[in-house]
Amino acid sequence: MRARPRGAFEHVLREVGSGLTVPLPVRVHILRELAYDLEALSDRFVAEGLSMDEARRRASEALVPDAKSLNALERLHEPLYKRFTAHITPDRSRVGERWALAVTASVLLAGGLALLRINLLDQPVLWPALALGAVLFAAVLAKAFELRVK
Amino acid sequence: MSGEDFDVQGFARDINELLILSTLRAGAKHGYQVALDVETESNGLFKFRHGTLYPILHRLEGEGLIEGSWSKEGGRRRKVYTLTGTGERHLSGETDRVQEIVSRLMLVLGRPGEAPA
Repeated sequence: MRARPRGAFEHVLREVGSGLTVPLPVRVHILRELAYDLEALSDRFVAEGLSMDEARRRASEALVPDAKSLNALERLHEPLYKRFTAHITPDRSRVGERWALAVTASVLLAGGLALLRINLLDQPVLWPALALGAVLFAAVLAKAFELRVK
Repeated sequence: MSGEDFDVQGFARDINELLILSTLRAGAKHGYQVALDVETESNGLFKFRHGTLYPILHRLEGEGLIEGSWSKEGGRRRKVYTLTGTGERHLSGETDRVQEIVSRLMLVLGRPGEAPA
């Protein structure tokens, strides 16, 4: 039985992934599709009599996107957010994002406290824990926004 | 179709799209199968290299001309494309357009120096 070398295209896929600026879910789909196709095509070439190395080389040559194809994929999968903010300078958009993040985190936090019926004025001991929680929550929100929306 | 409307680069892009749609007429295929079949059916004349296939597949999918779906095989997730009804109609209309362009071209090539009617 011919052993399939696990992760034979791992370095190629990592390279493609690092050169692809699209939201995380899209990147995962693109890499997953490419991974299957690379393995299936190289298997097919091996079945036709090529050596494993040659089969992998030819499969990569056919399927691994070059810079031009990566650009085309990025344009196709450009998130709405980027399209809407295309005319705004990066600095301004960063300031806007921070404000939006701060407001969202504050609203969610205030909502949570209201739901739990906690009066902060009565329990100042909670403030540091709450501040730490708010910072962590904002950091998670910021990371999720960066990965999934931008 | 007037001479001013004709865009040579756009035509080349359209040909790639039509090749993909045409090969999917035979049934659902993975991306690599599409690339292989186009190459085989055209006797090596048309080849997709350096991942040029994927932007075209994803564009056609976005336009609703083909549909991509995921399935699992031996623990590996794979994507399969099928031609949609819209894609089939598009293919049929575009095939007529390409035929018209090619026949006009042949008319010019066959009668050098004379303007086609």
